[in-house]
Amino acid sequence: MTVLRLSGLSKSFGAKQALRQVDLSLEEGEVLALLGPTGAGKTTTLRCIAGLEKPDRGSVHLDNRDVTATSPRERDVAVVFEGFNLLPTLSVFDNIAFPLRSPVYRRPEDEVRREVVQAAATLRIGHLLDRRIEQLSGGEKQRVAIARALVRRPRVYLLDEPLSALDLKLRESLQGEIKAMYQATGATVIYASHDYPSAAAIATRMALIEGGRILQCATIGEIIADPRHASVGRLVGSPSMAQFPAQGTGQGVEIDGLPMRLPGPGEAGGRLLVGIWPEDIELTTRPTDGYAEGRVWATDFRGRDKAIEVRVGSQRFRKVVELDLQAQQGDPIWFRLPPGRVFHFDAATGERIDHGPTRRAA
Amino acid sequence: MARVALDHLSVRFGQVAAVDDISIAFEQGEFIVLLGPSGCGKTTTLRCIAGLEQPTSGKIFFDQDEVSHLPPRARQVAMVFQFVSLYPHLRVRDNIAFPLRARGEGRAEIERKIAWMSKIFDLGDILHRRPGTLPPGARQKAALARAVVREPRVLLLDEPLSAIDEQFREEMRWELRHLQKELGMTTVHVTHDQREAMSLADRVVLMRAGRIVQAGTPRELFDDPVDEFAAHFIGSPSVNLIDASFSEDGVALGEAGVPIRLPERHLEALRRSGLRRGRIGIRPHSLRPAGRDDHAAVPVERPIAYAVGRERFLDFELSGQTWRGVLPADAGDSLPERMQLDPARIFYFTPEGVRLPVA
Amino acid sequence: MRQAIPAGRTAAHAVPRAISDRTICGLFMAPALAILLLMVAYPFISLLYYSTLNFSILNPAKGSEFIGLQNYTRLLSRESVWERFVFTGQFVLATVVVQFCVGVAVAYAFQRNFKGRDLLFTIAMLPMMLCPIVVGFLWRYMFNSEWGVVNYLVTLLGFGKIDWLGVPGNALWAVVIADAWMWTPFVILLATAAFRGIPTDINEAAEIDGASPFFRFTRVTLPMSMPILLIAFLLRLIDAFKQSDLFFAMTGGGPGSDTETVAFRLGKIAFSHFYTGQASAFAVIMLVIIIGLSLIFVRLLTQQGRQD
Repeated sequence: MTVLRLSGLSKSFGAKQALRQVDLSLEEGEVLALLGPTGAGKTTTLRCIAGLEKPDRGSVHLDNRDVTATSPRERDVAVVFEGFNLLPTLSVFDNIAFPLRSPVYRRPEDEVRREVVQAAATLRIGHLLDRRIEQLSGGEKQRVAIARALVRRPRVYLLDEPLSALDLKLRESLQGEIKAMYQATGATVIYASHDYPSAAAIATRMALIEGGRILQCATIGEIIADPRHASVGRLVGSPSMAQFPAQGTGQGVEIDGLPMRLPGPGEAGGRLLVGIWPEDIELTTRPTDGYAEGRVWATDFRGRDKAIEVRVGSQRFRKVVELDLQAQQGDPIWFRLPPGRVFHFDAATGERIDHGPTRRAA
Repeated sequence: MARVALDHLSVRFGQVAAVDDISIAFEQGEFIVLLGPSGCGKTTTLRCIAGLEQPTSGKIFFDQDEVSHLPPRARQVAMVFQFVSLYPHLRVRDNIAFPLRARGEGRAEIERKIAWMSKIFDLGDILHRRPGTLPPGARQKAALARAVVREPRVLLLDEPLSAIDEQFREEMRWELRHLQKELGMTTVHVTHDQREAMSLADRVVLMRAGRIVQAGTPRELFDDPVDEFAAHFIGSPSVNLIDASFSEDGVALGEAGVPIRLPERHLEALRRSGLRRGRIGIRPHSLRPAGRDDHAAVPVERPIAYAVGRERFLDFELSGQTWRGVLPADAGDSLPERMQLDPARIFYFTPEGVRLPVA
Repeated sequence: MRQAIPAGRTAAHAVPRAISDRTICGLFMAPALAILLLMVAYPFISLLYYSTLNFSILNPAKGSEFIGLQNYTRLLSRESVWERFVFTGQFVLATVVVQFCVGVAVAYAFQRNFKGRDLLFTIAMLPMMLCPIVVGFLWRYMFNSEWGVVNYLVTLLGFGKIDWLGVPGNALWAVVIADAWMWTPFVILLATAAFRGIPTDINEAAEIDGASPFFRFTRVTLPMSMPILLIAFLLRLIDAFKQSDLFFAMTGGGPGSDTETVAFRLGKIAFSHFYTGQASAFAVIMLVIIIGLSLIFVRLLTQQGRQD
């Protein structure tokens, strides 16, 4: 059953167009990540859904009811913002209980207590209920904020970068808790983030947003097999897609500044971007026929493996390699882009040009 | 560029020992990262090297020179702070010129050095702007340029990336790593972020409660932690840990006493130690689906698989705790019934958390 | 999974329509607006009105003859009025410069940690809390040419006695000293706040950069506290411009009317001669000058803000 549907949502603030024709729909129990850089329109989208912002055009449907014109109180959604928006004068218990005591959702006090205790237990803050907000650490505050959203059991949870203020370890454990929470309750969630790994760990589907436009909305496997836009490649993956400015020759594609000629769709003189997932780039540490020479610009040790950045002229890419690969900063290295693995994007619009190889989803 | 040596360095604030008898040397041109949770003494150590904090006892040497009691301005060090320490009323170029003017260098010399920094740090567009108008990443880059411009004997970085938006932090990490190698400057960097430490350091100095827990290359710390704290602090996703009981019959995990078959060599070492209880740790990437052989394997309960990119993780329950392992990319949709610990990468800890060698 | 939701909760749209946010906003602001109108707008408008009348409150029955801008032209064509402006300008310049030189220096000294700093700081703030008339009489006694403590010190140094309050040039400086004594604490207070507002990081960075204390003060401390110092400067300027109490207590405006400031003269016109209309016009002129000064500073401040 479709819980939430956005159609043709547009919104501008003065001259700035924050959302352009946003269409999205969410099934019951689905967790959708809204992934995009800062200023892409993630927060505006969530605010429109919550009713905190009124779209210029388009509509918001909750459970097939048009709620576009209604106030936030009349929509059964809960929002957790990046900041904590907790009430500092109240205890943790009273903060979590707050929505259950508000006139719209008021419930008997013994039921409030039961719900609060249960929500606190899910997020492992049961021992903090009597504390005051200012005595809590950042991670604990964030848990309280999530518990406060959780306790109301709304139709849709809107989480706006709920973890980005926290450090990595804490983020990891809260990721787990958010996942446990929605799996336990079957909640429907939109999780807005600019961080690909955390979004990928939590979501079942991803909507990639940039410049107020939804570029693609699909599962991660589908996105990797068939990225629809150059920006999608830049947002997904860790490291993200390697992209090389290139030129069409009529017979194929020539990458700028590289002795590399690939089959491709480019008409003569057409500017395009050749994209490839870093995992598909082939590397060797010896001069080899058909490989281009680059130089290791910097390395990044990641524990079980390392990433290197390779540069040739103005071209660059990053790739995860085995720890034992002999590649120190400044070393030469040779690489090849297997033709069947590349995608072509229009340099001006970023749109995919061909449909590329249809690949097995990872 | 100097070699930096700390000799029995201690700093006490009243009764509290912020730094507790540390001795270590940083080689010329080395990228050192002081890593640890807040309050471990890493920042105090750095401030001692800068001269902003006075050691209660112990000595600090730059090469042969003892600098323990010199004021900051006589030490020829440069420092970049967590929150941007650029002078907000000065343009970027005047910020970079500031330390040069402070020591009265000539106009032509200053111009030459600004041009040099602008080239290295790629500051062209922002030289004439004021810090307030710049994004945090560019500001820290300018702060780095100001630090590096007078060719200090040591470059000190006090969590310079932590105030930067996460999106730009990774970019800055790459830049910093590249530039440090390019300039070959002895660098001491403080952070609480293990990911940052692993990425940047030639050598990581892991600290806790004013003492050094372990110092070594990132790989040494990752593969060969000296204790449970080091094992847990380093690595993401975090190491899987579980209580274990050791007996004549073998090893059992967790409260449920899940049995596990371990190499005879390990059992022998455990027997020699005489321990009855302890903890076992394994990094998620050393925990993979078991083959037919159930050696060093554990049963999988309530599994949840998910993908991050092409990497697939499997969360499952082991005696009431959540463990995380990895799945090969080419595995189908069926989930494994058992996961196997890579025997060479199992960590054993005493109940006090000390690593027990089994090799 | 939705079974836990009690019936009726989804009927949230039954909430009654409330008053709009705008209306509520207006309602909350209304009392404050009303008071503001009563306390500011009404007196100001009546001031403008009186300044166009030939009117004295001593003789209200005589009525109020409308004479247009004659009050203004009469005032501004009088040489003695212009002299008062020049004298006031000298006073303002002298006292504000003294206050800032001393105030900023003392505030800088207070940045250091020394024993008894807080007590000393509190004592240094005291003059500001005193009543101006009291301060005036205090200094009048101290400047007494026969038995005042100032001349006692002067003779100790081997100079002859000075007639502090009887000679216009001397009297100006005597009042400047008194005024600076009273209001330097205000500058100390704001400068201290400004200095403390500079992050420790910045000062430590400068120290590591090899900057000497003087270099640090001129290149970092002073420029970074400029916004607050500018505000303090404006406040002191306006206040000094309005100064009359100290002159009233110390010189009575004499000898003759040589040490009357603009505000002093205004008081005289209004409450000795009771030329209410003319006094109103005088007040409007002063107001215009003060607003002009303020605008210059607001411009300066916003410019600074824009550069950052």
